[in-house]
Amino acid sequence: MNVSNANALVALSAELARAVATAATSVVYVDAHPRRDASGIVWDERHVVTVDHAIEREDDIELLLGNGVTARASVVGRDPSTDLALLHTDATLQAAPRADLATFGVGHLVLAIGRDEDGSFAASFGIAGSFDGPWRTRRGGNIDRFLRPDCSIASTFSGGPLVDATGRVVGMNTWGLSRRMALTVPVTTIERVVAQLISGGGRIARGYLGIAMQAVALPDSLRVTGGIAQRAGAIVVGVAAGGPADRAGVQLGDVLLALGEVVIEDSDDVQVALANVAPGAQATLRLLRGGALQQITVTIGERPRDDE
Amino acid sequence: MTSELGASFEALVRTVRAATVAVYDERNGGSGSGVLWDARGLVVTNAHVVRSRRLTVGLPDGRRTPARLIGRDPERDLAVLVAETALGGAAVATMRDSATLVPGELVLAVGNPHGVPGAAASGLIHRCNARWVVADVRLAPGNSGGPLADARGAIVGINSMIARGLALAVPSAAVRDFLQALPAGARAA
Repeated sequence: MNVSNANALVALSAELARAVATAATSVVYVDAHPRRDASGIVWDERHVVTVDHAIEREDDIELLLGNGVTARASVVGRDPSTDLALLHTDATLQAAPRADLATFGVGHLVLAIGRDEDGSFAASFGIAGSFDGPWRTRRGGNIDRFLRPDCSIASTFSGGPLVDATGRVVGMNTWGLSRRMALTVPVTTIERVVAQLISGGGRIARGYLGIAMQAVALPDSLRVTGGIAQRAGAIVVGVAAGGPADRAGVQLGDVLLALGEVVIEDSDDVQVALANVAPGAQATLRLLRGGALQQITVTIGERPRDDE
Repeated sequence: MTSELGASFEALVRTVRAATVAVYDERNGGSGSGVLWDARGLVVTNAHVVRSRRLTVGLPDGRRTPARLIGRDPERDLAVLVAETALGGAAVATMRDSATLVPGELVLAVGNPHGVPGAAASGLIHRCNARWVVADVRLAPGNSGGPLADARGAIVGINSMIARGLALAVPSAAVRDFLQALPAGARAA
C-alpha cells in the first residue's frame, strides 16, 4: 500500500534522518552527576558545552562520543544563570556546525538530539514554536532570544542541541531554566557566555548587594508629595550582615526606587541593574525611608558562588 | 514545496487509514486499533486490546464484522485475529523490516485514540532496538494495536504504549516472527 506520490515526504524523511546523523557526530553524553544524565554539544576541537545543572564533579567527567569512544573532561567555567557549563578535553572532537539565527524564525523545522549513556543517539522533531526577544532567567541570566521548540525534549536531551533541517546548531536544549517547559539557549547567547567564561577565568562576575526584597505598590499620596513617577518599588526584607548594602547603611524597610539609572519596581529589576555593574564599582541607590527620599552610595560587591 | 508536502501527508494518512481497523472487545467494552495484515482478513493488534473472545473488527468504511482470536502473546503484547466475514475491497498493509529504521525518519501513527476513528499523529523515529521502536509521536488510549508507518506508508511497528510522552511500538520484525510462529492450523483457519 505504498503511497504512489510520496516523493516530497520520502525526501523529507531521508533529509531529516541525514540531518540527525550529521548532527549526532557532535553530540556527546556527559557523565558529571550521579543522578542527572545530560548531553553535550561539541563546541570546538577541545571544548564541549553542556547544562550547568547536570554538573556535580568538576573534574573526572566522562564524555561518551559515538562509536563507543570515551574521553575525559574537566570544567573550564560555569554560568548557572544561563545554565551553561564549558568543558575541556584533550581528545580531538568534531565541532558542530552552527546556524545563522538571522534567517531563523517561528515555524522552521527543528530537531532535538541527545545521546544516552549506552552511546546511542535519539532525536525528536518539531517546529520552532516561539522565537521572541530577549528575556532574563530567574537566576538573572540574559538570554538574547526566547526560543521554545514544540518537540518533545527528554530530560537526557538537556545539554544537547536543537538543530535546523540541515543539522546546524540553533541552540542548547535545557530543562534547567523553567520548571514547566524545556527551552533552548540560542547559539548567540552560548557564544557570548563561552567567550566570557574563557576570558573571565571560568566565572562570570555579577554584581551583588546582599539584600532580599519584595515588590510593594507606592501609595498615591506618597507619589504626589515625593514627585515619584513609578507606581511600585522593592521593599528591603533582609540585609546580609557585612554585605555591600549593609556597609552602605541600607536598612530593613527601605523601599528601593532606583539603582543607578535603572528604575526598580520589583526585585527582578535589581538583578537586571546588577547584571550590568561590575563588582567594585560605585552606584547610587535611590530609596524611600520613613516616607522621605534618600540617596545612598553603595560599593557593588561580587556575588558569592554559593549564592546561586 | 510546502503544498507538495501537505498533499503527500494527506495521501500518506489516507493510505495508512485504509489498512487501519478498530478492534472492540465486546465483553469488556474496551476498544483499540488494529492493522489489516492480509487479504484473508488477518488483523494484527496488541494482546492488551483483546482480553476476551467476543471480538469485533470495525473497517474504515464503517462495516463491522465478528472476529476470531487465533494467536496471542502477552509477553510481546501482540495478538492476531481473523475476520469471520470476507473483507472484499479492504486495503492491506505492506510491512517494512523495522531493523532498517534509523533515528530521524518520519513516521505516522493512525488509530482510534479516545474513540476518534482514523486519527493521525506524526513524528520522528527516536530510537529502535529489538524490543521497541520508539517515536516522538503523541499517542492516546485507543491507539493501541494500530499502525506506526514510515513515510511511504509501510508498517514498521504496532503502537503499544506511551512512556514519558514517547510512543513505544512493537517492531514489525517481531510481528513477522510472531505470525510465523503461529501453529499452521491457526494460520490457515
